[in-house]
Amino acid sequence: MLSEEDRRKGAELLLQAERERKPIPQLSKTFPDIEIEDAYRIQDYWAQARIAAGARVAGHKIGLTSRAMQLASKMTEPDYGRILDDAFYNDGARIPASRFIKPRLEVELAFIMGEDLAGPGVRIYDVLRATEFVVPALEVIDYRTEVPRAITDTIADNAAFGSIVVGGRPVRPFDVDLRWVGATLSQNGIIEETGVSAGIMGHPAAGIAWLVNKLHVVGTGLEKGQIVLAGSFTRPVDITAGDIIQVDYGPLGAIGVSFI
Amino acid sequence: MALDWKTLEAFAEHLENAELERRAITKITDDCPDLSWEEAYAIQDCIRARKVARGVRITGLKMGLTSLAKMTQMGVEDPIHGFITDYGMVPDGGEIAMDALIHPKVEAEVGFVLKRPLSGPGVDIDMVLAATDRIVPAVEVIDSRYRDFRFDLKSVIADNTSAARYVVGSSTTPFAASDLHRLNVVLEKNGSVVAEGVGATVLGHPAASVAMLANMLGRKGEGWEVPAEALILTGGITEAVPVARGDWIDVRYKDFGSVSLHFV
Repeated sequence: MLSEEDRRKGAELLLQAERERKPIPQLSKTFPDIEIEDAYRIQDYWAQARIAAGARVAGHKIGLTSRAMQLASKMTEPDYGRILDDAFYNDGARIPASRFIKPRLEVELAFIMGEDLAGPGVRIYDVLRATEFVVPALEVIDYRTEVPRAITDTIADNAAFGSIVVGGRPVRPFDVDLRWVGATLSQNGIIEETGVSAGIMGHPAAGIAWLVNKLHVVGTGLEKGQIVLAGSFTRPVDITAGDIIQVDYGPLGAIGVSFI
Repeated sequence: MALDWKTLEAFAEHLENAELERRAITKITDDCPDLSWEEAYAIQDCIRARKVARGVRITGLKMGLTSLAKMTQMGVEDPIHGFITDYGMVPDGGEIAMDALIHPKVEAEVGFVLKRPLSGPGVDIDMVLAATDRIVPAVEVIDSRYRDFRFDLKSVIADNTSAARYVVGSSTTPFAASDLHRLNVVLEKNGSVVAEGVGATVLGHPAASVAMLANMLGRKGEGWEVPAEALILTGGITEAVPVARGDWIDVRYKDFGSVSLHFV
């Protein structure tokens, strides 16, 4: 466990990496005693600093939602980070790759909350009741520390959140079977990854139920109008400037972006 | 071909014995670094002839390396193909004995059965769809004979593209073959989703895999074709998932059916 001073220091290092577009050494190396609770507190300090500088929390992201990713990071549960309002791009956007340090792209669904939702004991159907829309969304993840990373490095680094691109067709939670949303990710015309939303813990609302119960422990919840990235159902694809990405969600439409 | 028939036969015997005796071996190209694509397929053909001579029935063909992204990574323009056998067939819901395999993995696929044979060149998706009698959900159990999966493409071809067992779904609902690029598939191991994918993973459309097979066989020479009334496994929609004794695998194909198998 770390002192509050070290936690603040960790957040400052991450802010510096973000500002300078230069990764810092892993916090798990700088602070070998770091635990998961410390990592979330570092993320809180990072967010406080960004909010003080004018950003607004627009929602949350959930990571490590697939069993493969959890096994790879020796975790038995997902992790979460904050989506800030300066990280949004629209369908068709030309995104500067230089905004990121080591960008990778993931295919997801985003939930738009129609009601406040707080734990404990929230289940999938509570999430569905409180959800106004579900919409295709891409997430750019980024690493503000060196790799390889411990799970504490990822959590402190806002769960690797970089940017969000929302597009395609918004649906209400019962318009489609949310377990069966398939997506095909093409990079420069070649299909690199495909996936089905059941890959997110069996149901994309499952991660959100987990998130709400987890937020309850720190005294918060989800608010009406907030967006939640429900977790990736493909492996991340490395991005470089010049890439053209097209993701086809079948009946839910498509999202296309280019990196410049 | 630089290698004489006797040498190819010897490699075929070595590889087939590894399969039959459940023994992992080192890759063929370690012994023969200059192996050509043609020779790799010739070894596979020898293995096939050995089996047929013993009374094994060839029940169909299979495609491998059907991801365009992987083909680009490996710098090749064609996928690879092999054959499947009567003793490789396992009924839906059936058991697969781990004792008979080395280090099996499962992947979800789609199988085609044609009503008339197809041979290239010039076969395209449209011609495949017109010649298709039926499509089936299918799970392939692959089992490379190479130790620790250390191999290269030519060694895999010689090893009959890791073919081992396959299961065709028995509970299916009609599904339009032309929509297979949109087919959503989820693979569960012991009740948890461990892999998923969309049909377009397979060369953009699983029917494209059959077309490429017909074109590859057409190039190979006289008499080579995609036969009618044989099962054509088109390539993995999901990644290959390792399995262990006791595992239950359930693969669900949206609006198409399911396949299950049990490793004992």
